[in-house]
Amino acid sequence: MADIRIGLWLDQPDSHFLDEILAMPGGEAAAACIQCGTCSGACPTVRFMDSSPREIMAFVRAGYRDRVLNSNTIWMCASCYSCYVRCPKEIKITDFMYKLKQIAMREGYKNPDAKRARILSKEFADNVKSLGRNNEMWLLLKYFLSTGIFSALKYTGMGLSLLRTGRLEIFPKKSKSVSDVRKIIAKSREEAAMRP
Amino acid sequence: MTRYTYYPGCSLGATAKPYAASIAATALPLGIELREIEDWNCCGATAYMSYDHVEAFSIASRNLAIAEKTAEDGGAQVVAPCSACFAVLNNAVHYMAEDPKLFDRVNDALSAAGLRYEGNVKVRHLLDVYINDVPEELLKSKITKNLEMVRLAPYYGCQIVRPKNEFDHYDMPTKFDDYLELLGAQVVYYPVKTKCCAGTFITTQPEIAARMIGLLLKSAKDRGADAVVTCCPLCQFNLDNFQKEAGEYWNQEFNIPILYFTQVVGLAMGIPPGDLEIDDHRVSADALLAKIV
Ligand code: SF4
Ligand code: SF4
Repeated sequence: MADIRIGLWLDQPDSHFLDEILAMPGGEAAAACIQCGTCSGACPTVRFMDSSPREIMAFVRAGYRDRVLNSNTIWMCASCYSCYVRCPKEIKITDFMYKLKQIAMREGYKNPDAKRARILSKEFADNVKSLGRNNEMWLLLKYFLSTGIFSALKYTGMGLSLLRTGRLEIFPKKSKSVSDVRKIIAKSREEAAMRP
Repeated sequence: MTRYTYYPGCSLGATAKPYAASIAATALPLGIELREIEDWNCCGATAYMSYDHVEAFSIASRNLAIAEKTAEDGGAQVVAPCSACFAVLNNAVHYMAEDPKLFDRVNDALSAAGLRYEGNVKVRHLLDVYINDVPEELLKSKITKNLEMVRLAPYYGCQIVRPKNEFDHYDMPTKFDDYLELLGAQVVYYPVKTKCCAGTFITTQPEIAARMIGLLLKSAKDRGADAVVTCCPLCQFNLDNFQKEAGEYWNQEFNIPILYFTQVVGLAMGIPPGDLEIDDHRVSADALLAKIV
């Protein structure tokens, strides 16, 4: 694909990165982006992003791996699908954001804004793996323990009120499904490792 | 009586207990029989999607495979009360239908647990079932209370209408508005009805969450709503529990009850607020309850 330079970036286009993105379901649609900016206009968190969704699409097409994976944008995406449903070229932008998060996590790209989101994703996955279901109490506890943010204290009032009304489970119920889920995950990882 | 395969999701046993209680109180009288999927597992939610999409869809699909297997006619309608679960399960169904490679990969993973998904499940949100499957005469015959003094803001949230689906328009849906009117309440114009509730940002980006949640509360407050009505545990949790932070961000005070739609249905049916666990929410709904006669 032609490199669409929209500035003099230092990044070197990375065709392997581009291939990986294009290979995801719906990935080839990136080529159809007309840079209209509708996605950025629809995005509720764009003001907190260092590159807008439109810019991310441009960088992806140009193969600017580091610029995309170092951005906070992918972590500021709340997966609300506003961009996705409005894009005139029907590009599944939210899925691109997911895919980019996956690559950034896998390859250890560490945007400071991403720290908490990365931990939450990881804890969540661990939680599901070990319990079959997601236990909100453990998730929050582990999340606060692993981030060490004592803004956690801010949540004490919320936590106490939930405990009082019996809305946080203290003893996680282990879903019987857990052995199934573990097997499915193991098999899925086996297969993923064999993907080109 | 219509029978549905029910996928409650993780929140209904915990933070969303009032949702579960109000569903239990209202579904059967309206002819909705919900049969829980045997031994279901977590749908994976958006957090898992950031991990790996095949793995995420495989976990979600275990539920679809069991639903299909246990449905009497081989095809099942799976009903989810949580918008995030609904979106994840519905995406799994649609993405697999569009992408045979993904379909095979997921089934390959499922085979490790001796399961297979054939592609015959339809996923629906509980709100969709309440609105579209309950005959109007039946609903009307159950309404015993007058809600005409109550002003409600219908908050759809993002995931029930997005990605595009059959339920309603992705940006300016109206079915929930009409439904609350049918229940006898006044419905305020709520232009932010499908704006994001900040999702998991309340834990990962609390300052941004305060801003986003504040926008939703402010719009309801400015239009004189007595409550915001939701159809999702995460939306309810965020809007109910973040009013102080949102108020600090926007420099004003918020004190708006956030109800589940099933609680409003229950109130209209004359079910005692205690049975609907309305007093378990963080923000008190006493002022609203006083307006019901
Ligand atoms: S809305 Fe679609 S076509 Fe327009 S800039 Fe965004 S991705 Fe490109
Ligand atoms: S899905 Fe992400 S990028 Fe798209 S509008 Fe929502 S927050 Fe912005």
